[in-house]
Amino acid sequence: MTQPLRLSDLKATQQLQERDPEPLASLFDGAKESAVLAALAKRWSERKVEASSQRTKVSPAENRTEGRTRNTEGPSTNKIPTFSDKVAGVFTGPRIQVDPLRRVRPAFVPLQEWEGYVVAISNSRILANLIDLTGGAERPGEQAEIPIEEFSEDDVRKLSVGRVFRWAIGYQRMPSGTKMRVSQFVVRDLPQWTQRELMEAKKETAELAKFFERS
Amino acid sequence: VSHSDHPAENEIEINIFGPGFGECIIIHVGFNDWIVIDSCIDSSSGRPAALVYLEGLGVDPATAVKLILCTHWHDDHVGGMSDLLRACESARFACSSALTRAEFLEVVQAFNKRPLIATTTGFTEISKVFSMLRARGQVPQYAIADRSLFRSPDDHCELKALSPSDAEFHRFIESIGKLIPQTAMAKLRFPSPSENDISVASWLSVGSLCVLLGADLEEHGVAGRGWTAVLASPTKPPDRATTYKISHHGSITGDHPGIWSELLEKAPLAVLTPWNLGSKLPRDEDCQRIVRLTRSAYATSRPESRRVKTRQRAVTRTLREAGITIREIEPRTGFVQLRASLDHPDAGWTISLSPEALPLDQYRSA
Repeated sequence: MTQPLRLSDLKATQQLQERDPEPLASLFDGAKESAVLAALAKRWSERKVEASSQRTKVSPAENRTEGRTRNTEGPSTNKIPTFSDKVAGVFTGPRIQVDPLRRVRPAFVPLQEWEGYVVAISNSRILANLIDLTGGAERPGEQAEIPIEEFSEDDVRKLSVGRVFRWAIGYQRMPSGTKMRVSQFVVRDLPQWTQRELMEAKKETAELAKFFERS
Repeated sequence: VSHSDHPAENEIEINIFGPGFGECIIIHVGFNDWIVIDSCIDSSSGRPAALVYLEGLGVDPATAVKLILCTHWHDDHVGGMSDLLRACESARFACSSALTRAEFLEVVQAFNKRPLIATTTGFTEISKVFSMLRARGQVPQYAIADRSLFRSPDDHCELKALSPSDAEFHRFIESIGKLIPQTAMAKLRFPSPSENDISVASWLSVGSLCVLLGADLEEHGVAGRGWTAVLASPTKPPDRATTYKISHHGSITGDHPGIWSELLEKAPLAVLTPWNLGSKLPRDEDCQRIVRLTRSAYATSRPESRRVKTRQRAVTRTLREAGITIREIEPRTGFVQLRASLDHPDAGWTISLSPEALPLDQYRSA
């Protein structure tokens, strides 16, 4: 079953991107100043890299050039300097061997995310009210007319007035390192009410009703 | 929300705010006493329009607001209601007693147990309001047809509920009870309410000036319900109002010929707040119908937002390629302000329009 797209998931992805060593690697490629290297090394050492898996990322550009992942444990067949080579002598931390040719992890980077609910449905389009999650809105501020073909066949079957969906526009990074602009709709499969939730609701109701009955 | 000067002590001031999604009426009933009916969010500040307005005038809501009336629980009438109540520490809170019945409370509590949905409903605000009332030990004042909700110490001002009728009350309790979720039911956003039963329409009299505040009361053509019940009531106001907050965003379902012939002066001053979410109100035919009854009719905001939202180019490109159109449904908060002197009520009302407000004969539905 398709997992619902959660804001927390997307935020986590975004945070992951921010920590991604790509920008470090691209900086590193042109770095000549020892201060920059020292800063890079400091940030690098904070990443808690496990000694047993001495592998890390390189920029998509490098990855695309080589087109394969290389294990630093094995014999090197080219002369591309590793991160460790470049920072050697600049800092005295644990020596980290770097594989500049790892495959890029697939990831979705959202640019805009909404939660919507269906207001009306016609044969070819839906009318939906949208809450701008990226902008931190808590109530509908926009209304969209969306062609039904934008939804997957499974989701089209679920569409009904009041149904809630998530919509994100962003970049999908492919394992090859290329990126693709995507618009992703996911009709939410919301959980069911549980006995516990309904019992809690009844208890809270009883307390409130008792208070109001005082009058 | 922009501000004018503070009304004089002997002036009644009625501010009707409507940003396109929501409604709030702020009334100075004289002598620095204020009443707030419903609540909506000011589109510029994101705060309750009533608080922004009062604070802008230098009015302390904690002491000056005497009554908050929640006409009904729908999203567009309770936006920011809990913040408003928190700030208005000495205000009494009035609502239909149907909202404090176990059937409604259980639906509220159950539908608030859906943390995966960002989409809020009126339930969220109502739940916060009730929690606050309970924490304060403050029981609401219950609004039902023919009950006085506010009376000033010198009797120069009274706000009286015209609805809901007993029949509306019982019908609401019966219908809301069917929406209590059961175990293993999939969670959904609470379905958009199609009827505005239990809406509290009210009658304000200040000195010799009378104002009909229609809330979202609708007409069903059924004895004992809606406007038919109001018009049939033996305690119907004997006077005629010179001013009307048009019911239910000017829709035909909120109208009844008897409103204009039995409750209002001929060609009264009339104001509506638009509804830009889902099926839009008023429609062109609604505007034409109202303008035929009075030329002094106004809308608090325009049908379309004038703002152009800036987005990242990649987002704009994606929308264009997919043939998706998005529009803002909340124009800048607009309002219509009416003022009249309590000493010279025959001088009539002074009308001020915010830049977003406009005469109804210029309103063209989107």
